[in-house]
Amino acid sequence: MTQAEESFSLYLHIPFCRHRCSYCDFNTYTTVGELKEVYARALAAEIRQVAGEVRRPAHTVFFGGGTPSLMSPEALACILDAVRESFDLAGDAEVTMEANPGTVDEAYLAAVRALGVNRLSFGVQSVVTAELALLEREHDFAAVVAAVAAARQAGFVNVNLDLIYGVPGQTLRSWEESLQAVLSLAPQHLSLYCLTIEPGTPMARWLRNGRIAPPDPDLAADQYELACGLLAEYGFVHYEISNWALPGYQCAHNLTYWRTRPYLGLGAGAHGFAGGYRYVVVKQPRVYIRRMQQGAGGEFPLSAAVAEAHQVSRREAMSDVVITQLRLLEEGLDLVAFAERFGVSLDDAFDGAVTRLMGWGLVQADNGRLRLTEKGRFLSNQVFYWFV
Amino acid sequence: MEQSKIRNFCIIAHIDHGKSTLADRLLQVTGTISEREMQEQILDSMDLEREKGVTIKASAVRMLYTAKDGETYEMNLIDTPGHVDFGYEVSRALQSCEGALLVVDATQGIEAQTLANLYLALDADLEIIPVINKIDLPAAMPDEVAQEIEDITGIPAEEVIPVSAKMGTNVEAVLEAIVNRVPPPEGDPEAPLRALVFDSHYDSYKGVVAYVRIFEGRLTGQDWIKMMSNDVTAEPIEIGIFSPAMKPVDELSVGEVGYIATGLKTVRECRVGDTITLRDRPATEPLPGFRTVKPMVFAGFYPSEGEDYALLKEALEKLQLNDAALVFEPETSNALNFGFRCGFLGLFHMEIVQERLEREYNLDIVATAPSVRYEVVMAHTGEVRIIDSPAELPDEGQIAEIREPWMHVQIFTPEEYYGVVMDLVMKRRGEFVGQEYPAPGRVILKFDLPLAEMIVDFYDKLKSGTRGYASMDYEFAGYRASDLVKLDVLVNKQPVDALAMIVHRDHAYHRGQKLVTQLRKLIPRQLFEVPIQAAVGKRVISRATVKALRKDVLAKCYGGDVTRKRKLLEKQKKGKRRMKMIGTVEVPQEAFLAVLRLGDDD
Ligand SMILES: Nc1nc2c(ncn2[C@@H]2O[C@H](COP(=O)(O)OP(=O)(O)OP(=O)(O)O)[C@@H](O)[C@H]2O)c(=O)[nH]1
Ligand code: SF4
Ligand SMILES: [Mg+2]
Repeated sequence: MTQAEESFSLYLHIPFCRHRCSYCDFNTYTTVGELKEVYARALAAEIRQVAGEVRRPAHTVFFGGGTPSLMSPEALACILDAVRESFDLAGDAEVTMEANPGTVDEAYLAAVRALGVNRLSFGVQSVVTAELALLEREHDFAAVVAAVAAARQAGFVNVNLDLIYGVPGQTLRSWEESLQAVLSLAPQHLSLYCLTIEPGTPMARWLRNGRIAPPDPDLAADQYELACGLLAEYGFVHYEISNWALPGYQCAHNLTYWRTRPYLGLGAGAHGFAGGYRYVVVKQPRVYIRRMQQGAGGEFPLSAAVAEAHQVSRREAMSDVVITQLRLLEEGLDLVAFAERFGVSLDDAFDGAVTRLMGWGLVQADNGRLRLTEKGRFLSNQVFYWFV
Repeated sequence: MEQSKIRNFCIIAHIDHGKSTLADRLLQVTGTISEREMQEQILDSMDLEREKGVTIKASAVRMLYTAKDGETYEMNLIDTPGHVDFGYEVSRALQSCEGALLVVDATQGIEAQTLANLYLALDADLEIIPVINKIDLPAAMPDEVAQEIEDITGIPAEEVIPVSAKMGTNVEAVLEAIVNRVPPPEGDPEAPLRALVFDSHYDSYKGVVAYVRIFEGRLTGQDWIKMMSNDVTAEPIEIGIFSPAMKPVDELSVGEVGYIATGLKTVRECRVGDTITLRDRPATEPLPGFRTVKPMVFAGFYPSEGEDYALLKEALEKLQLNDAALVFEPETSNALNFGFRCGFLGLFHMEIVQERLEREYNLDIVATAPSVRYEVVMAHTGEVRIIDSPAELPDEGQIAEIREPWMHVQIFTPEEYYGVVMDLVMKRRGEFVGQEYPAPGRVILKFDLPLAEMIVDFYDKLKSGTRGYASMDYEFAGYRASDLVKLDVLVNKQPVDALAMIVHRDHAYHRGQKLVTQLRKLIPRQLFEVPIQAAVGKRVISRATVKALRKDVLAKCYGGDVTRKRKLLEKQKKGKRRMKMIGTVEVPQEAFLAVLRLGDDD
């Protein structure tokens, strides 16, 4: 495939939230809501600038945040128009929007659906009131039920729900309760994230001053195993370390990341990987807007708002393949393709790491594909760090 | 300078009572240092001294002072460290002086090292001038403290000089007192040279620079010198004085303090305490030297990265040039590979050396828990083996007796902490010797205590138990036989030499249990279960298990932020590289100091 024919995924970052959740260290802001409309125009400008004259094929679009569902349909239209104008967006392209329950109603979702969004991802996190309060989420489970119902009414077939485990105070039972409750909403896709307490978040402070207990890794492991078992019963395919889908509903956008395929990161703080670069866009919305209003872009895919970019070295490319593709539990890593691309076997490239890890039962190879074992799934860092 | 116009004095005090600050003021008032050159605690020239605010090495400086009587005097000041680990520096300084300023903090009063240093000064026959410092502080109690001083020294409270070194208040009075009360040095200027080396430092151009006090005769820059203990001769590169920078002079004469840049390449050739004389006109008898300092505390120092071994060796050699008390020899360990067994004066000294290695030589060090030096009497031969590492202890069956160093300890405390101090000392096998009440509300408790019990967080416990009020001083008492055993630690069934320790039999079970508990917390979970055991002889007395690791994931891939993920993995990898391998178990370097955290209560 030549560069021009290669199909891209587009990640579009919306850096606005109403309130910052206690665990959140994403690039999001709660005090600059008035910038939304200008921001949408800046984002549209960035899309056009990056694309330039070439109308490259694209097959997924993902509005991530932040809270994309805070954007008006008009603002979203402005952005999606730029996408369609600048890229050759496939007819069956997957267009996802992250949304927070409590920010959407049926009319809004219908409007969004009409713009071409065909997949919704709701941040549910938990159904237990105390846990939601600790996470400082602004919704309750009733809002989730209403949001999913509204989505269905508005014609969304493909709905993802996010949950978090490893939350202080959460038990195996309360976790199961959350799982059962979201399953009752019949989602097509589930993302289950283990809470990481990031430095600088309120939660990190609470941990320091003893307001919350340190996370118990064994409980998290039990919770993970419980989810694996339960979701299998419900017919979900565990296709990535943290993601489950009903057959046919794997997230095409995220698969781009995990297959080490190119994606464009657009919007404040977005990360991209294309044209041999990994790059990140400036984080501050105001700076981002100013840069897009004033500057000219660089070579593809670098816009005027890119803060840092580096060309991926051969070594880094090899390691990227491992730390992305091994996340795909079913597909795994194609050892033959690796050897063909880099001219060296994975095991040789990393000083016998594959052999060693097989010995420890963390990975296994069959039919030329390397996969994490059941034991390796929840210990993936122990595998990956041999490849960095 | 005419001999009668020379005054040699030192400043002694408990740690932090303000010696170095008072020295600053004296330098300033005498114009030795201009306002422009002035910085705080100017005599503390080492980075580490400046940062810790603590004097580590003694230093000497010459000042000229025109007194109220209109005469100009040469005043040689020797600043000394206050920490008990460096007490030997104090005793050396004292021998080179005729007088001592005894500085006492007006808010703290007399403390353990005030007394210890006072007695040393009285032994050396020095004229004592008591000075109460920090009178600017609101909590100052100059009258009470002056009374305390009178009670203890017999010097009338009215003769005690109240000052604020910080503000410069009343500093002239101190200089006048030195002129009027400290006798000028004695000694025959025409006799053959006898100069006492009271300190030294190493300079890469000038070789060993000996700090000397001339007791008899004189020395010019042209004279060849001879070291009286080993007959080493040298043609000095230069002789001079400290003002406070090194300043060459043509002659050093009886009574004066200065330096001789010997050009000698090792401190062994020019030892502190030795007497320097003239090659061509030697004296017959050396001056009384100092007691040689013996290291009391030993620990293994290993480079974190094995390849730094040669660098560590070089760094230790260099440090030794300026730190005669530091000793070291190569050592190997199954867990830590190649390193050095180092001997120190005390834990503080050890800490200073470690910090200097890390800071001045940019080395990353793993230090094993400190140990003392044992005498082991062998069962069949009666031979006495000296052992300063638990790993060297022979099997129990071969040992007739183990002796360990004991210390005489004096603890100074407000009376209300009597019980706390007693309790602490008794838990550590201490023996009560006696008590004194030097001042109302204060008590000096005297104990004998095994040194091994003092080197692990004793001082911290004493300080925290008495809310910082207690102070202590100690000296070596002698070796005594004790019922000691070796406590082995096994990680994944493998004994780890660097974790072994020697403990009293009655404490073995308790210590073993604590050590194992600590290690369980410090050793990260691995891919497999890791048993940790403490054993005496072949008998396991305590065990714990580090459970197998079950979770190590980065669940979320932050919108395609692979770079961030890579950074986290790289960090993790770096952390792992710093670990030491015991068989297949990765053990973090902190684990080797776990022994230090075996408090008495928690
Ligand atoms: N308020 C006040 N503080 C003082 C005075 N003299 C010294 N200090 C402070 O007391 C602390 C210790 O002073 P140093 O001069 O370093 O004490 P030292 O006796 O030389 O200490 P070591 O060398 O560590 O034994 C410093 O923080 C000084 O600033 C004083 O007259 N008044
Ligand atoms: S909704 Fe998401 S992006 Fe917004 S604050 Fe909460 S966790 Fe952060
Ligand atoms: Mg000092």
